[in-house]
Amino acid sequence: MFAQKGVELVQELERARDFLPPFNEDGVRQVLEEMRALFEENQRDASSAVAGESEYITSVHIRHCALERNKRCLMAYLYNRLERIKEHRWHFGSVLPSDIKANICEPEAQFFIKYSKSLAAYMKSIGEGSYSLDLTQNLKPPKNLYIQVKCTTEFGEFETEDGDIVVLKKNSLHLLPRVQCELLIAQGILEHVS
Amino acid sequence: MASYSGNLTQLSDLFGTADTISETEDAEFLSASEAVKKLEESWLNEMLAPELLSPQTELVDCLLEQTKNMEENLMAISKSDFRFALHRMEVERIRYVVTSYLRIRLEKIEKFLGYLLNNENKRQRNEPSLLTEDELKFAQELNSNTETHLKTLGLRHMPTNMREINTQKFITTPNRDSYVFVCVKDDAPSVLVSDGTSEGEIEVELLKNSQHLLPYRSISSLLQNNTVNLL
Repeated sequence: MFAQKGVELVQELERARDFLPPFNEDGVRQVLEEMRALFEENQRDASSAVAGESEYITSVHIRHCALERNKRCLMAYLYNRLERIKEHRWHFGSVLPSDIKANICEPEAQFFIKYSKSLAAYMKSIGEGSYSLDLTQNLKPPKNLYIQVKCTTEFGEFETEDGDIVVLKKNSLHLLPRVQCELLIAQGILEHVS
Repeated sequence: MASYSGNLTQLSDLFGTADTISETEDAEFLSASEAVKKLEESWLNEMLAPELLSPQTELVDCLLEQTKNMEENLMAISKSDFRFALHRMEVERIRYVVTSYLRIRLEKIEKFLGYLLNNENKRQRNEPSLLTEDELKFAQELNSNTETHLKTLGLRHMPTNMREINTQKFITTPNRDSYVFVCVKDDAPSVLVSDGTSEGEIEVELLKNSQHLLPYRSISSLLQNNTVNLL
């Protein structure tokens, strides 16, 4: 059955909707192998068809359709992974946690760095450069100035904008300005308690 | 939503920030509370419209200036003062609306990347653009990064006659026939609405302060010259 591996790649992404599975380098290589094999067979049959034997034309056509399907599956797989990586930039900030880093391949890491750079350049350019706005903050309308947070891991000392130094020990409760906490909450270091 | 905007404008007037003036393109003077109200309207419109609307760059710029001034004034007041908390909240609220507005625009740009870049290329010199310069740069960089990525990982290794993808086939265009709720600000006579058949159109009149559910296509031009707002 042609393009089976290609469909498997797409299914892998479909089943893992919430997280990014490791880059299936093996799968991608198999799809490309299949494409190369199909293409070579096609070339042989096409040359013989040109020479006058017309019975190979349908098989050339079938192989061509299989090639197109493989290409489409592969493009869908790669593009979808890119979309998820872009989402990660908005969710986690410009440094990826190590368990996600283990799941992306080198070109995807390069893409992430370039995307982060474009985004940073855009954020710097709003407000005529005197004031750069971090668009990944302020995700919800502000209700209170200060929020109660609980620290989930041992983080150490943290300095707020006003200059107060807060020691973040495991399971300690703090009342901190909302703006300072947003980034830490997104990274999972602090937890909002109501 | 109504109470939210009420809080903002009341605070601006109460604490004297209504004194600061901001200037728009037509040399109209807007007070701070009017500027905030206009930003909220643009924010709602952008959130609810199915396609990208014109950028309100002057509004964003002047409100950011405002928040900067307010923050500088805040340094002068001690933290435990009641006014500090209120001003701080107002700064936070304005900042939230501005960041949300810009974020929604970026989301739409990423979604309709091919379509918007095509329009940019076809645009004549004197027509206004839907993208600011920086947004355009962002969009172009994203486009080229995606293409290089797909080429390196996939297309480069494919058989020689399949190495190009026809990107034109895969762009998503905004759905201009989706329905939106509108609130009419000024009388709008003769709005064309499709009457159910593929060719026919009816002319409807929209009266001031009425609310309707209409296809986006019929009201898009009215939205641009501010006669209607989306709800």
